[in-house]
Amino acid sequence: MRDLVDELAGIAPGSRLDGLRALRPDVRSSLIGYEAAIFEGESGLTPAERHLVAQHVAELNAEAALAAHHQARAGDSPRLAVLRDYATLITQTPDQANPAAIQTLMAAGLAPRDVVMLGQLIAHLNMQARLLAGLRLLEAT
Amino acid sequence: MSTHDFGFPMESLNWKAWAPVLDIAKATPDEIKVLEESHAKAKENPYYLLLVQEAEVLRQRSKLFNTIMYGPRGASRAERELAATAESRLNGCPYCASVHALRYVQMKGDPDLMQRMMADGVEVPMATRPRAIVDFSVKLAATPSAATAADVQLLRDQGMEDAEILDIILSVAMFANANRLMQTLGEAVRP
Repeated sequence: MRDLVDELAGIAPGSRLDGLRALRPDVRSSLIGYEAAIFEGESGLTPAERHLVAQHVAELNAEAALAAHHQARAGDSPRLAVLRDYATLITQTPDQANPAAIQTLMAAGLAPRDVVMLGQLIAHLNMQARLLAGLRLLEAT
Repeated sequence: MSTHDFGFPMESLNWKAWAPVLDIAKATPDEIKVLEESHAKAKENPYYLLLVQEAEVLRQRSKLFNTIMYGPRGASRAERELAATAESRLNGCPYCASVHALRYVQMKGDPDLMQRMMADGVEVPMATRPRAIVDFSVKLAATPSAATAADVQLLRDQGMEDAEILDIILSVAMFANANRLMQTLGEAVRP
């Protein structure tokens, strides 16, 4: 079973990194499940909006392949600026998060469960970015 | 205001949500099941009652979290907790840092390092092996990552196998996620 991280990091079946990742099969299977729940689940955030935010978080983390994956699936949104600003705050300065930032999201039409979905999405992309960066270091050395 | 202003007490904290949470009396059977799969006390915890509003997302994330932090073999559970605590201290998540500092102490039985790291930050003096783990973790936690091959070499110099280093990477990746939920959807409060 391969996940998006294997694909984006170019981890070939049977390679050393593939063998390392195979020691934790539950990580792969739950990453696949988490990815699907975030991008394919029903939500007040459209799929195009979710991929837009994902592309932005990947770019903030300088993960080009991850950004390109989402750019190919992203679309326009009338609340793009609100979503991007929130994703920037949470990705770069999580210690500056505040209740007013959530009120701004709700004023843009996000229901509480959409706020949860957006938070999970931003958190997930930040996780994938560190996993990709860490695997590159293990590959290179 | 920064979440650092709260300080980093070595004690169990409570947590208050900034967005409406699920009323447990109105939970569906599936929501109850996801809460029970996520954490022993999730049904009384506002963090989980907030997240369960996207039940399938929480279910998958809880599976991921539990396998990364508690899965068998590989890096010791204490060293996974060390990586998680250092990152949480750096990012400024007092709730996450306190939970995982206390777990580290439970497993390692050495409160001194954690007390100093919580009080004064990730740069406090420590032995070579925890130093290598903490330095790698906080560099990988940066946006974008600042970790280098030299940081990985320092872990290998401590006798760590690549499977163990991957477990540290997974712990850091998981807490890049956990910090960004816990410190951005609500705040730590003293009991």
